[in-house]
Amino acid sequence: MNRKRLAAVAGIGGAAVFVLMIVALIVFSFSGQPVGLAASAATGDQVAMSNALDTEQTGAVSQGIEPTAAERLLVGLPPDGNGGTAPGQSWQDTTDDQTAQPYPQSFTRLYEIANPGVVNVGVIVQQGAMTGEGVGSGFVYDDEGHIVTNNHVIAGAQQVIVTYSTGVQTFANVVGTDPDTDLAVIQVEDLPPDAEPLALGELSSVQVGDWVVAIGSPFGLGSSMTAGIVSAVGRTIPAGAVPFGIPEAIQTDAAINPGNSGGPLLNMQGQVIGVNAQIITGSQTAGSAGVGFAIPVNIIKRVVPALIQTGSYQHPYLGIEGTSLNLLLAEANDLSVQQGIYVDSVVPGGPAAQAGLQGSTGTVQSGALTLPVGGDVIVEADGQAVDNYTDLLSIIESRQPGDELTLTILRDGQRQEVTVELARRPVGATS
Amino acid sequence: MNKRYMPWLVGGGCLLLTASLVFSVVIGLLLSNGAVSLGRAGEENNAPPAREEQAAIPTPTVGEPLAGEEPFAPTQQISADTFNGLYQQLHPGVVNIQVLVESLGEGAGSGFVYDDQGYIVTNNHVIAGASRVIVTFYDGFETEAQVIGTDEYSDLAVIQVDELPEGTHPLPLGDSTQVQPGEWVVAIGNPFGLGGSMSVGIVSAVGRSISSGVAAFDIPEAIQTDAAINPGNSGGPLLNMQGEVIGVNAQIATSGVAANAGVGFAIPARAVAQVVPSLIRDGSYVWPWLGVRGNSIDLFTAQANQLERQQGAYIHYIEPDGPAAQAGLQGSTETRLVQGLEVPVGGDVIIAVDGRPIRDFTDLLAEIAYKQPNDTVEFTILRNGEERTVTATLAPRPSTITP
Repeated sequence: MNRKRLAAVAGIGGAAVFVLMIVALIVFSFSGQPVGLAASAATGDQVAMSNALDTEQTGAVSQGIEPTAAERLLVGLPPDGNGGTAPGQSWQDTTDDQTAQPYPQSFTRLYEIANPGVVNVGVIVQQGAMTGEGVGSGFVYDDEGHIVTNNHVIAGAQQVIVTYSTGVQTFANVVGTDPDTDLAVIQVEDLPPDAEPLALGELSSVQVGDWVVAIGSPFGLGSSMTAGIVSAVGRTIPAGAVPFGIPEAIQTDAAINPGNSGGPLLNMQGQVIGVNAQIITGSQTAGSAGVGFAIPVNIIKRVVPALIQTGSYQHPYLGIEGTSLNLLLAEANDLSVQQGIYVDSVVPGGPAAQAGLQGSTGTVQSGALTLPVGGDVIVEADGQAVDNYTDLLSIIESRQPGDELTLTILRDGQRQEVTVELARRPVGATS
Repeated sequence: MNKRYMPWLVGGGCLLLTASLVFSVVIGLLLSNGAVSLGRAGEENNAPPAREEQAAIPTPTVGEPLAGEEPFAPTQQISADTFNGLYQQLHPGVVNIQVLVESLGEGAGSGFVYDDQGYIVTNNHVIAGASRVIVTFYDGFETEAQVIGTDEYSDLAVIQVDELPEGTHPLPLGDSTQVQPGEWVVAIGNPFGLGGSMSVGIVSAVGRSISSGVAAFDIPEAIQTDAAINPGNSGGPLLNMQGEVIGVNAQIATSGVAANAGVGFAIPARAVAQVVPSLIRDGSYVWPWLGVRGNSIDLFTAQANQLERQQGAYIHYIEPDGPAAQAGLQGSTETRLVQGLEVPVGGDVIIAVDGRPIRDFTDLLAEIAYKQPNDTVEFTILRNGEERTVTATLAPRPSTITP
């Protein structure tokens, strides 16, 4: 069927003809409710609290030659004058007095270095008789033309068109997807020489208060950069397509809007620390409200190579439905602790079931509330304290299917150890 | 125009912000070349303010800094004190503008003092159709203003007050062509009626084409910023760290709700420098006109027209009897099917203007923008695979162009 060329796919930016589609794809609005895990967690699960706010400025410190006052004024140039993104070099100014930390002098150098590695990702999707277009972002991962983006940007696309920062466009193929972490890898042929891969940073060095920039295509406006700080770390965000959560997400107030999905969140060294994926807003259709989330770089490092090699990623799987302990649950279950994961039910035949974990045996009334009781409470995983669901998920996600995991549980007031063998997350699993 | 009630009651009064009067809310649907074009995606016309030769640009009169104060030193390091210093220096030059429009009610916007004659720059869409314009200065002094000149194509307007209060001073214009993505900027204005508000952000991108609000004409070289810009900010200045006006805040891209989403657009200072003196002198501005519509060379256009490089401006449509038509430029002759899409083919591809290569349609607009009506322009074009030059004589933009 012939169709009139949709002028949307043009130039540097694509165009979003189907706003609702884009909004549905990219924006998860919760109307102020906390972003909890998806169906596998009981309702009322709270957002994983970030690490205690570190109010001292411990952001990136330039190594090597301390920039002179004059050099600092050359806004953002690395001290050695080279154009490279050497690890440890910072565009953030430093002074001897760490408590009077000045702002980054500018982000112009960061933009010069990083923007060529960011692309606009346009998609054409056919739904029945209707054709729609969508737009997101991505970044160049390696010299072979692999580009990282969000799964929700390219899912179901008939055509994927990459637009470089120069405006040149090319078709791309989908190489691999992982709906559970909302990541995908596409590939282009003949990567232009100036579209250099972006370096990946370390999640462990990301702290609340660090300056970050997002580069992408908000509303299809390619090569847009916005700046902000890390608002929180350690968030768990829903994967969207599946009920499992993505742990350790980075929250930022850098403006992120529909179209930014799949683009990089960068630290002041120009390293990718996350892939922008979601925002919380006041309504289904609103844009940035200063609350954006990025899939953390440690997940990128884990998942992307597998997507390139095999086209998919095998997630480990425990097979429970549970929730972080809270005061009411602890009271109802006569627990002396308030930290841990209460197991409400165990998936039949799953690893937890096979290891003998037990779910709720009944309920009690506490005023108007009905609370489950009797289930195991997980307090440690491989000797590491797990205070909430996110902690457990993070540990599980760092393992492979087939790995053994020793869980320390409370049952009938007794501490016990149960060893489970993690399985592969089944397709279509709801918990 | 539709009136949209914005439910923000400011202070004790009921300042009704009619969004349609004070703001163009651009729903980010339609983009070509990263440009926000309202209306006809892919159909961009040359829109621009003409510009005299560099030597002939009249220098706007700028005032002196407040007596006894050092002008903001560009060598100062950016720190938490920087923004306070900028505010102290700059906000006396920013005004709130309140308009009364028959049968529609009130609207609010911003402006900045242009010179010591009491001229104030704002957006055309702030004061268009107003029966009364009231200016409030930073110290609370209110006075009525007269509309001196308007230009809807650049969305700029000049109003004048009889009296500038003590302590107010003009804000200097900077060079918007030197602005780079990543620079810190501040916006000062009247968001939601909260006068004298400053917001801070960076330059997100430059070289954007934004809709002028007048059908088929764009404003090129707009500056995109993530500094918070909201209804009420229209007409106010966007300033760099040297305290120079690099743009006039005019539009935001949003998705549904007319509020800041970190994507705002400012009309470049270059346009202000070009248009405002003429508004003061003549009350209007005459634009050059080429009479073409087209788009940048994207993947589909390149494939359909068998172009080797995705570079240049594709001419789709030639306005009858316009300068381009008279010069013999040619538009699309038919469409070709490329991967299921019908793509226009056969039109000339402009690859250079006066010998300067252009990357896309936005570049073409910017090149034409700074010319005078009746200037001669040499275009290097590709036609049927061959390079040739076409010379056109620009004309004054006609007042009625139907898209």
